[in-house]
Amino acid sequence: MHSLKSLGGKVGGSSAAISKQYAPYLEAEWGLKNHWYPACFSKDLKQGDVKGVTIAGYDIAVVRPKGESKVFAVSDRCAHRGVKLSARPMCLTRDTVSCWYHGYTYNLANGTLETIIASPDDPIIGNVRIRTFPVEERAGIIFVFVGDEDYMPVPPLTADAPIPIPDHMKMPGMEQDVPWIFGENVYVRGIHRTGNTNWRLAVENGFDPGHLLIHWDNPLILAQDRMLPLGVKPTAPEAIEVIDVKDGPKGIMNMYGTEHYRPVIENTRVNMKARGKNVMPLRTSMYVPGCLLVEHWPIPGVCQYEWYVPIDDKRHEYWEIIVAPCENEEQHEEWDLMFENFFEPIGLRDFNNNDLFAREQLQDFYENYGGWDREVLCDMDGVIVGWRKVASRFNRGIATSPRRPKNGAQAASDDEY
Amino acid sequence: MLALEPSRPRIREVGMPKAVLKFYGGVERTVSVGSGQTLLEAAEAAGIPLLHQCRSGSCSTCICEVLEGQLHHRKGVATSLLPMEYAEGKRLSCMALLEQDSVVAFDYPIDLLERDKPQSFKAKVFGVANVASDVVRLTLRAPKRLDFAFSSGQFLRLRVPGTDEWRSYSMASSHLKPHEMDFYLRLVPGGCMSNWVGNGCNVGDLIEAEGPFGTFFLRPSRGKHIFIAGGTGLAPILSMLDALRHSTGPRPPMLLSFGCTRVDQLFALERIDLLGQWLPSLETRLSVIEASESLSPDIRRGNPVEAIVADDIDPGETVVYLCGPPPMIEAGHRHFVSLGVPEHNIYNETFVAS
Repeated sequence: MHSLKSLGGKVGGSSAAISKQYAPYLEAEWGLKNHWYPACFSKDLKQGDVKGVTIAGYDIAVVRPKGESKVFAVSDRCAHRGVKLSARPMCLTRDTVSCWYHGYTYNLANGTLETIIASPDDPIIGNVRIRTFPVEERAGIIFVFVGDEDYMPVPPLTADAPIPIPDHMKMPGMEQDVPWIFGENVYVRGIHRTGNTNWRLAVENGFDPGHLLIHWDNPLILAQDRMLPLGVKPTAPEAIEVIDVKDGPKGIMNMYGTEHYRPVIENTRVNMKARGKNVMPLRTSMYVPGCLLVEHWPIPGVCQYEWYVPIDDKRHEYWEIIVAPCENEEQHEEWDLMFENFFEPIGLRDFNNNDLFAREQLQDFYENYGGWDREVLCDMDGVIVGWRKVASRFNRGIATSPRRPKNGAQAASDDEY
Repeated sequence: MLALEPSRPRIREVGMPKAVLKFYGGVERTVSVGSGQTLLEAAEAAGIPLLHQCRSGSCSTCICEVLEGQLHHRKGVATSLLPMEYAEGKRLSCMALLEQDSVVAFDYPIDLLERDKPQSFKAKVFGVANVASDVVRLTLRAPKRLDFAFSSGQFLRLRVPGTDEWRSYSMASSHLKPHEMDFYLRLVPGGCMSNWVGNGCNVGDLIEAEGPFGTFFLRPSRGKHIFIAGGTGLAPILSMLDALRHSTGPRPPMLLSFGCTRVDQLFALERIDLLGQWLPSLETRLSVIEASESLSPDIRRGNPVEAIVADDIDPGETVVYLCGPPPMIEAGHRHFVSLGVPEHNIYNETFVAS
């Protein structure tokens, strides 16, 4: 038996010295603001629906009035007593939303209080408003620009999403076009669900080169007899590339498929070998404010997009979207069959359940035990630190907690300073 | 939005000249100024708080600009206003007497004093560290229960412990965490604050503080921001850069020129480097006047004012913030006027080490 003393080596970590390199990212517990985020699928917002979502602490009601194809986004807090408009949807005209409680009725385009159902002559009518949010509906998804109301000009939605992969940036050896979510002739379908993890931990899991181990015995891998390394090790600075398009997407790409990442096939110490015969390369890249592109996944020629949308400081909405090339109705039906029987149950659910599990395991340490200052990263984590710096540099603002201290509550502490 | 004004009985003083006070943001107030009364006294008597500090013409906090009419300073008092500034129509409210009906501009919003009301409190020392050959970083905290806020660029007055001497220092830290303040103090041989920081000061000590004060804070502008920092004049500018990082809307182009006399006096370089990482639109230039042979290529020889050339000025809009010793401010002012930056876009704060 060794005594602890004789073992040497560090027990636990102190990453405080490096973590100040990306201090803005560490401030961003509640997410990055002044960015576009998906709020709900188009199919889930029928005419007359009022759906409530919370993004980076902002409570937002997305509304598609009866008889109207357009979508609006307004604050989901009634100015009167602060209840959520979405708690009991009431949309009585094509251009207003009403609060179900006392009937405060707001213009959807500018948020102005247009009438109060129970008090139509009230002097505050016209003098009070709730805020509105820029909204855009594309690829079957309703996106909202979340942040400061006076942020001008609002950047294009495409600046906050993965780049379309041009020919010269294709992954070596993969000739197929990579479908772009906002491109022509694509099939887009997915799911979203809530993860009980801070959004940053979710992002970092998404493109973590060392996390393949959690998927190693997954049915998807075994059924395809897919060659999945135990991990991939960066061997040169070129292993990661920063993406900085002027007025466009900002992100970071793992240059898988080049000589700068070496797959780890075997670990002799624990006698473990990578399985599978079919080499099916994939590539991951992450974009501000937290959108992942996995090229050639779950099958070559198809992509998986993921958003990790901050809800509050402890939860994120996990969006998993399949994007596939699709020219006609026949292909569309084929992709529907594949989505319902393969991509969703085996990929988005079963395979990515491993990721949700792993992220939820991170939460406790980072939330309660100073994980951001105590983690011990290794060289396969270079891209994670790189992402933290990219997010520190290219964010358009840091969201802060919208919560207010309890009325009359004092900082109950003996500590005066 | 309607501005709610308390209605006040209008007293008509016959024969007294009137001053219209124009505040930044467009709000105007009219006050009558009695004979022998300063503009500051008249405004206070009318219930309009003006930024001020020393009341003796030395700090320039109460500076204003005559747009119409005539004001002159009390005779026989030396003030910190430069003759050049006086000629341009600048006056110190605490010294200015009204000769006729006039219009006077203040470059801050009328609610500034309400936003960040100066207060007296005891701050606690949380850290003291040498960061350059003659610069110390002092970390202070205000009591948690104190309702305290400041605007980036403002300063506190600190009482040198064990003396009746007060010194002013700008916060170098973020206004978003107003209770946790960093200051950069230049050590001056024999200076009383320097003695305390160098010898008597310990973590946990209490120090009397007053503030915030000062009108050196960011004005809303989308134009190019040029910051000139001489020595510890960098402090308020670091706070401003942090404020711009947290500002709403796309960040403006920013250019920081920081200089000291010698290389070993440069400080906060790591923080400047990080700000550059986090603000893609920030460019930094470092200068030293007395350069040794082995100067790193990132550091130029000369003063931080000369480091800015005509090409650096955005013909659309450029705003300039100068902070450093008086000769640097004067040189900077002349330099930017000659480069075509309008006077009203040049803001400065004078630092005197003591």
